[in-house]
Amino acid sequence: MLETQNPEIDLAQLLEKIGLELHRQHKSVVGRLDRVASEELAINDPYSWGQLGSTLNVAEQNVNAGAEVTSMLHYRGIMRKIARFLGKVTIFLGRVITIPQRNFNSAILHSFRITLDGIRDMNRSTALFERQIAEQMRHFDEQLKKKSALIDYLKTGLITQERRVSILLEELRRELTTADGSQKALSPHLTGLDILDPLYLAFENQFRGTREEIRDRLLEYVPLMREAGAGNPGREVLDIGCGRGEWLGIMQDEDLLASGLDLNHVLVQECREKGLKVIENDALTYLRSLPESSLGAITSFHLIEHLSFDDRIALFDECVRVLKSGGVAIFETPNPRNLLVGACNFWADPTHLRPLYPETHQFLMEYRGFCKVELLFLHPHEGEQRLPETEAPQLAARLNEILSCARDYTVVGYKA
Amino acid sequence: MNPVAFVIPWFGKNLKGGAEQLAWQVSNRLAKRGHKIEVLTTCCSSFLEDWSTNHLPSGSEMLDGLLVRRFKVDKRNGDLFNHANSHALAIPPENLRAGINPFTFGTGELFVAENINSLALERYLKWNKKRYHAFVFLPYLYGVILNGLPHVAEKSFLQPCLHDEVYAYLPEVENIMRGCRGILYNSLGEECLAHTLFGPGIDRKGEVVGVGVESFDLTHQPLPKQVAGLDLDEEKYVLCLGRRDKTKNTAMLVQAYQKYRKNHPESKLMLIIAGPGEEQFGASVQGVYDLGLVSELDKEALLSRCTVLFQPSRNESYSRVIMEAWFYNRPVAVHGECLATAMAVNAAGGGWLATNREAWAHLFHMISSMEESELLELGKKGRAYARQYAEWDAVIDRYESVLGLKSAEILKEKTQHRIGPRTIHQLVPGFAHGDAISNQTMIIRDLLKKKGYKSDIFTEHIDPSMTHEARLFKDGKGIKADVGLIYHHSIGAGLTDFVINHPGPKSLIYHNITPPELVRNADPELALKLEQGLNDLSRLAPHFPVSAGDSRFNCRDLEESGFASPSVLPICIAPEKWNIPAEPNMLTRLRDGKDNILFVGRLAANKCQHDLIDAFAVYLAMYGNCRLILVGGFMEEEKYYQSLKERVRLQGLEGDVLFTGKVTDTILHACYRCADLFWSMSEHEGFGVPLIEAMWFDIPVFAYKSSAVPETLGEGGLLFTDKQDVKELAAAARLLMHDPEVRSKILSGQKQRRGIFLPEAIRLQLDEFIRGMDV
Repeated sequence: MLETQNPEIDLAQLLEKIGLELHRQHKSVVGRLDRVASEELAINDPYSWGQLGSTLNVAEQNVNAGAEVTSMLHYRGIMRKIARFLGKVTIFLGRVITIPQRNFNSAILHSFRITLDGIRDMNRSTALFERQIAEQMRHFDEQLKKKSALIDYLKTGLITQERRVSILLEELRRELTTADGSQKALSPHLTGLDILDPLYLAFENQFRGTREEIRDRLLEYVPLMREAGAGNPGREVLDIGCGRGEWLGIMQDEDLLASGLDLNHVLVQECREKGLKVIENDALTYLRSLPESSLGAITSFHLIEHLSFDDRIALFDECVRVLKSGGVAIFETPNPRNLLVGACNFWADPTHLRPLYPETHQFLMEYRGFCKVELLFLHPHEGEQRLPETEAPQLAARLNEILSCARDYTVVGYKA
Repeated sequence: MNPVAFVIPWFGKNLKGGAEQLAWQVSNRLAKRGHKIEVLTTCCSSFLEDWSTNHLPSGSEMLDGLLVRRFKVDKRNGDLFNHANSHALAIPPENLRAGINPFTFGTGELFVAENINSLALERYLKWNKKRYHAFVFLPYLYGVILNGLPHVAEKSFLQPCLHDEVYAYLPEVENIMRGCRGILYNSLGEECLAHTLFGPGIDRKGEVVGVGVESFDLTHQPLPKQVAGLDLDEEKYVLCLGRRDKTKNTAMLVQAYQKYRKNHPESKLMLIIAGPGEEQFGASVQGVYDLGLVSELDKEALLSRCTVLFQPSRNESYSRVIMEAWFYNRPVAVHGECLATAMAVNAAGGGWLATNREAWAHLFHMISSMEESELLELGKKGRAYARQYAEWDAVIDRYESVLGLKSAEILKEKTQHRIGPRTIHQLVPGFAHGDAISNQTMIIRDLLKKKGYKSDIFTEHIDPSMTHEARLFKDGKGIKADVGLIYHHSIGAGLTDFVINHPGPKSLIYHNITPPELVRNADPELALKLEQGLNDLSRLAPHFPVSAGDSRFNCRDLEESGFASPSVLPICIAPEKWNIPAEPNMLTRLRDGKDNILFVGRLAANKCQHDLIDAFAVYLAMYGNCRLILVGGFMEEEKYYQSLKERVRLQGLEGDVLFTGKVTDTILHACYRCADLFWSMSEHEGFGVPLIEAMWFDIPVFAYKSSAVPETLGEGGLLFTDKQDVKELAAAARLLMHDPEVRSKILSGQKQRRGIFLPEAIRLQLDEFIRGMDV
């Protein structure tokens, strides 16, 4: 790619030199980075301190300006003599100014020298400091790498242990199953121990949203409780599938009497630690154990989509049975009419069975004995998800309707 | 013929000092050849005396047959001078930068004003200028010279005896170097230093005349065969001759010899040191003989029989002893970093260069194994050089020819052929100071006038400072119907109709029009103008039987437009344009230790400054410490300029790319002086004046091969055919700037090439062209 008509230049040799240069350059870039990290800061002289020093030398030679008459270069011969005489007179008269000026000059010059020395010292100590910091950063990096390796090791160990425990539990169950098919009771410590419990807790923490977000959404239900007189003595609220206990917490804050029900051992423990009243049991089993007309309200958030059709019907039946007259039942579940929820978000939870069509849900509750059954659509998407309705307003409106409508809906029913 | 006057502050046969001796020798030898020579000097007796005392009577006297006129010196304030001088000497050498006045606070003016001065001498020069054929002023740093020369500048020759010292940076020195008619150098090294300090503007008026070395008269007494008990015919020895002190590197040479002997203990090659000085060398080293101060006769004997002469000093301005060795056919070795001696050895081919101890030790080894015949061959080369530059006869011949004292030359000046009062005018769209085409028209006009034609330059637009050189074109006023017309065609001319209708003989010189498609995107308006210019060209074709283009590349345009057999008439480029001081602020700004990459040309898409910025970014990332200077006019609102600025901003190069805009010649001079590389990515150059200007400033040219670029560059510079591999280009650019071997080869090619565009070189082609017009 290079060309020349100069006969002295050997192009092949030049190209070889360029190749070497590129190679050397590549190496020196790497080398340069190393150097900068280590030292050699003294050689870099971005502010030309050396030049500053010599400039100060020049200034020093002229510090005594105004002490002597200039040479009056424009004049020659006798004219210069006259000019110089006049100059001397001027200088004599000007001493009032020039003497303090010269003092000022030398003071300033002296200060500059001190400053320059100071800056040099500071540069040196900065360089030292930077080196120390770089050293420490390297140390921290190493430590961090070691620690994260340790964490990885522990994590794999933990998973292995969990598997082992679940296998042991499985084997234990088999051992305890006697030949006639009847099962011996497991020790209470072991019955509560479902290996998937901690997993689900972790899942909730990651996907369900923060406690605060959920608390905000749930506050909307407090008026419903008050209208139905639920939470007063004798009209207690039961929250089925209370999870992390956000709703129980709200009711406690609002002085509503309530208790929770959940199957997950870890979640139950967590709620109890917070001072909430929670029963660890299966929903149907527990409801069946309750007497008729004993509760003021039954709430259940994001539970029924985990239940089979038969269980759901059984649940509705039991609720109607245990509620007092005028008592309210609330079931919140993801809204499949929202395209995003129906097509995607619903399936984020691997334990969901199928989305529930709102009107079907309403119909079922009415059919099993609730009255004044209503659908409430909640939690629409906020503005940023909406399409702007400026360019194609009809299309945008239509899309907004199915993309940004409520993410959840609630069926509210009362016992006559 | 009128006499030639030598002007020097002190004059006398027995004065010490290089310049004083030189003046005595040259003036006497010229006088002996029968020329009328006078010496104008002061009444002060020598450099060592008080400069404001008149030791000698004023008036004229005859000294050895030479008329010497002495003038009274001015009174001066020695203290002030000493103050200025000590200020000057306190300036650290690294602060000395060519073109920048290192004397601050008026000390420079003080130095000149309180120097040795003579108003009487100046007055004499002023009033008697006409009585003299020429004046030779020497040396450069005294008031008599600095203040005297400007009075007779057009007849003055300066023999500066220049050294790289603080005084050489005085603006007054630059003033006389630029103002004088000719410069006489003692050595190639001195010429090279002057080029470094003052740029190429003074190149062509300088001449290396050399300094004669008196050869020893061998007829009276034979040279001794033994010196200090050493039988010179029997021994093989390297000689190191001259005063020894720390700066002369003698100790280093002894170490090098020691190292050589350690590796070759059997060697018979000795090292003999002779010359004055306190220090003693080599008492403990086998094979080293320090003879101390020796007599002239012994010195000659040592020189005549040495194997080789070594001159290891780094600090020589002119080494007599080298010439003396060469006169005896002995080769020499000198320090590679000493400009004066190294250049002489390089030019003569009479020896070797060495820079460090290892290299000197290696030289010892090499010499010990060389045959006498090989040594003699080198020595003979040296002798040839010495005879040319150090033998008085040859040196005085050169003085005669430079000063115009040879009778043949006077005759040549007078021969001119006159043809008769016919007229050829030139018509050019624009005329401006420093513009290459305007210069071309002036050269053509001068040539025409010399040949006896009447000739004027007419133009549509004229630079107000140039109204004395050209006339404004107003509807053909002043151009008669029957006169010859040379029309310079480029864009923007409303002259087309006029020249087509002109009935007299006419010719066209085409200075290229950028293809419109290259600029259409960036500047549609300009593209239209260019199109117009090209269309005009085909309209002009049938009316112009005689035509020429700047380059073969341009001739192609002419041929395509229908011109019959256009000839090539390159643009004249002479370095004298740069005989102006460079702008000091720009110099200071650019001489900050960074490498400067330069491109000169209007900011235009076809000049591809955008490619250059990208390549520069890569270079900067690879090597750092570099700046890109884009010299060339632009309008603030121009799209292309805005896009370049944006490109610079995006790549974070704001501090590293300098857009100068349209600049004055002094600023452009500064840019050229500071540039380390001229890098062109341009895809269209009709001729490429800056390429040749860069060659005059000894800037390596690195250019994309396109349009007329290869034709203009010839054997100068380095071309590339592909812009893609930018890293490779950057590495090549690096080599051009920092690899001494590559750089020197490129520069020597450029030195050859630039001569082709000098007015003298182009004169023949011009003659031919004018003859073709048949006026």
